[in-house]
Amino acid sequence: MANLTEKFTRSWRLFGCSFQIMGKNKQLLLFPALAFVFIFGCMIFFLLPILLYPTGQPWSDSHHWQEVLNRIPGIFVNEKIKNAAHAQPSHLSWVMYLYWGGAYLLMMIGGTFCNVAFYNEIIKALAGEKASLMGGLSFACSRFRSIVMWSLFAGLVGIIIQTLEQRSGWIGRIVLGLVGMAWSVASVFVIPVMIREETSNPITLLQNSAATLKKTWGEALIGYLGMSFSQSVIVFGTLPPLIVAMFVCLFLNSIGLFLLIFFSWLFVILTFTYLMSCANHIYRCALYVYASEGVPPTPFTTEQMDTAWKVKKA
Amino acid sequence: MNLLAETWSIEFHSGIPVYKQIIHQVQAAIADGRLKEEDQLPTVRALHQKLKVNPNTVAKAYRELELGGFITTQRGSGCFVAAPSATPRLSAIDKKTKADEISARLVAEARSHGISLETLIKNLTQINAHG
Repeated sequence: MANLTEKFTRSWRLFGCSFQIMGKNKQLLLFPALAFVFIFGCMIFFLLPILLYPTGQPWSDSHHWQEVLNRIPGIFVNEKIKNAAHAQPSHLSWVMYLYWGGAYLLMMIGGTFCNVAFYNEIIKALAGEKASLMGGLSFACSRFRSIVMWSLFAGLVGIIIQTLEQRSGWIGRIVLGLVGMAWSVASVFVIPVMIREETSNPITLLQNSAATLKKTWGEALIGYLGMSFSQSVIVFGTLPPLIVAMFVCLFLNSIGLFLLIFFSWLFVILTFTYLMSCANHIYRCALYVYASEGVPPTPFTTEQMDTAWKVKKA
Repeated sequence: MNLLAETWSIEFHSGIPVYKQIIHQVQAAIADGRLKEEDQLPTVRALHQKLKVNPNTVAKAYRELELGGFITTQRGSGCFVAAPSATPRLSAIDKKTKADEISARLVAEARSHGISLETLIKNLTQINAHG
């Protein structure tokens, strides 16, 4: 228990350092929102023409939606719908695959673009310089070729893993789940590597990310678990008082107060999760700097990094 | 910025921490005379921008060099190469390690430019002959 509390306190101190960086560079908070807006915008842009496709049925009719679902192969179609007597084999299948492939690629590129901009500004902030939204975006433009190449590669790997997973039995799924996890771990430093090194070869990026990770391998995963644990404890810790408060509202028959408490809680949790996610990205960059250069960036200290991440001495 | 620093480069995945690579490059420049006594080293900020590394890393390299007696720091003016007498002599073991390190670096760089080992040895012999 004492060990757990210590781990929690340690992770929290590391988050504290990330929050210091955020406090001095508030524009860093804009990057994840920008990525969300872009990806959400893309989804709406690509989904709308399908959802509103004229089927001859009114939108309020379930047959319209069944036909719409039939037009989205491999994503929302389940066997029941596919085998239904009235279901028509879609003659637009390959077009739809191209359509979704394009959408997926665009979202991957957009997400990577925003991350490159975000991480570049974090690395600048960790070097004591001022982070700016425009600075990050203009840097990401200069790395556009690398971004596209990496997005294509990562997108392809993701699709292959997912496709194989869908076609495998439970043992295969477990194995592919582990492969997917190994892929996520190996590519953890790809974005900072892309910022530091002017290569657009995705294999080199992956190799260099894995090489950097090797230095932090031992406790890297434990550290991540520790941080996720700290976050989960706080989120779940707010649940009992929320449930009690909601029961009291129901007992008092006050739906207005019930909704107010629920949405206030939701707002606080979403804000907290957002800030924690930003802090996590900052911490990841700090770890990258420490692992690749051997010296932690301010305000992180060697002691903090060593106890949380156990860096192998060269 | 110091012109010499323009030739310095960092290998992020060599397994040698970046601050140690900076130390090695300054030591090598002092040893082969590219950096002479009282020559000014690039500022921490300039070197951080040139090498794209964190300023703390450059600062640590300079601190270690100062502790080793290779450079001196003058407040407000910057870092300067220390007088030769202040530079500690290497022991026989350290010399062997240093020689291995320099040779490995030289061979790797020559290979990356497609220069053969024979050409490299020939050039080194010529440079040495000309003092």
